[in-house]
Amino acid sequence: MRAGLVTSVAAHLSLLAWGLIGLPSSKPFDVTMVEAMPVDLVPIAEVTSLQKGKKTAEVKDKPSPNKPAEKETPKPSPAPPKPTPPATPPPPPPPKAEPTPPAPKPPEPTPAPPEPAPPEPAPPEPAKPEPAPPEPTPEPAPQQQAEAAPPQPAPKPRVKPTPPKPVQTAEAPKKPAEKTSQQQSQSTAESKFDADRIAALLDRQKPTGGETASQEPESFGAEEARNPSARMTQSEIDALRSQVQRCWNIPVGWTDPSEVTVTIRFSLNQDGTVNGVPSIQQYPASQYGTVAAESAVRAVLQCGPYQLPVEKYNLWSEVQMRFSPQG
Amino acid sequence: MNPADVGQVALDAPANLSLISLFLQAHIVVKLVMLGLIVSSIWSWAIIIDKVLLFGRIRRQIDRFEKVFWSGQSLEELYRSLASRPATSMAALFVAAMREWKRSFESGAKSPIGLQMRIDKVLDVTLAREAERMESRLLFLATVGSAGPFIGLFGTVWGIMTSFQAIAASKNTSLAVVAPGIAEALLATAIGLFAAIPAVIAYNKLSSAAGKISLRLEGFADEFSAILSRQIDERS
Repeated sequence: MRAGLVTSVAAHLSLLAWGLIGLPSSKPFDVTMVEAMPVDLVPIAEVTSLQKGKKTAEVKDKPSPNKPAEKETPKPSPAPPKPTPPATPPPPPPPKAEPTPPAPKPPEPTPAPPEPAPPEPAPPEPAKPEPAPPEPTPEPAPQQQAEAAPPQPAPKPRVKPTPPKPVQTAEAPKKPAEKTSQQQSQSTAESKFDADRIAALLDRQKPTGGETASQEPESFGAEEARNPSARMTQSEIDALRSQVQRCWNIPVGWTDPSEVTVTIRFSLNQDGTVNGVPSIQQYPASQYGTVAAESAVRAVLQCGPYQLPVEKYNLWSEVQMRFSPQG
Repeated sequence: MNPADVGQVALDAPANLSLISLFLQAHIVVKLVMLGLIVSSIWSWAIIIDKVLLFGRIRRQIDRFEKVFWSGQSLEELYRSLASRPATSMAALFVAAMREWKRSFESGAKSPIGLQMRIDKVLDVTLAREAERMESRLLFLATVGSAGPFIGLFGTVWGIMTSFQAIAASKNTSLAVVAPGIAEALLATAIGLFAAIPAVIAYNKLSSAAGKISLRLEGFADEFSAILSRQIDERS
């Protein structure tokens, strides 16, 4: 008996030890995320602007609007550095060009330096005569010194008299992009330019795509959900209404709209045919009420199938329509 | 442990569901049930091992004895060789009958019928003793087999009862609160079944083995009684 007892105790203890070591505490189940349909009560106006959903997005009161992306060109951050390169290139040409074409210019500038205000010919060029274009010394505005490079391009000054220029330059630091575009327009406007100059002034920026993704965060919702921004447009609703109206014979003799106003609800199949029998939601309490309601039901049944956009079927699968002589 | 405490335990350690922690979290009644079931499982396995060894031994002894008995050796010699040490099973039957036989002749008993009756009685008594030795404690296996699941079920019902009280006290029906209490309660039934299933199987197996051995012993007893009766007739 003792042998059996000892063996039994040993077996139980080893079994228990195995249960403690070999059987780790139960593993948790793998829970796959099941998409829960977020149900929000939102005003109909906001539904139209709903964007594609993302589950990880934050829930926001305001859905992200479907903004058309801005053009790349006005992009503020990359632009500033680029304008400067075009500005710097010009300087090199002038020195080279000076010997040959700029010949006419040098004369102009010389008178200029004294009077910055005077008209086109003189003002801008002051620097030109000296080979070192960066030197803006002649230019009156002290701020201009700060951004000496941009103003240097020869063409600009010619178009506009100096007076406005200081203002521009003052603005320039804030909106460099704008300035470059202005520069461009100015330069193209002037046909006088020689080819070298134009080449120097050409915008070397690569053409950029038309649209970028909206920067707004995604709205909360299912990723693969149907695009919720699809909704019945007014014209489509009107189309349905007019199709029904064709067949609706307003009961003769009742001109009082309150006597004839009927609300019915019906569901449609995907091919536009009426599914089942329209149900009367509301009809006038007068003695003609049922007649009016039945006439509306008849109209709905007669006029099918309706021509409606199939891709928005889930929007018009269930229609509630109000019949009233005024439409 | 009042229900609120149970609820607190359930809330604190919902993730820890190892066997030991389940046992430690259990209500005291459930703990006692589990301990009792474990002890009965240990004891029933001890009985099973003991009986299996015993029956094997008895079968071997019987085989050996039958071989010697039917080998044509004289009964007197056989008796002399066996009487010196305590015999078991078939040998015990033989020794008991021979002792009675020799004693009757030594005392000079006259009635052959009386001698025959005494030998039969002695054989019966020895048979009963042997059977009792074989079947002792087998009833414990039967008891564990039939009552084990019920005892475990009692622990489970008690555990679920207290865990429901805890749920009611914590006013929270999330599965994380409900599950540990029920898991710990179900452990009691698991242990009950763990003890009962081997017990039932072993009981059936061992009792049939015991029946077969006693049948062999009875057959030998009848046969030996017939041999002795023939001897008595020849002598008288």
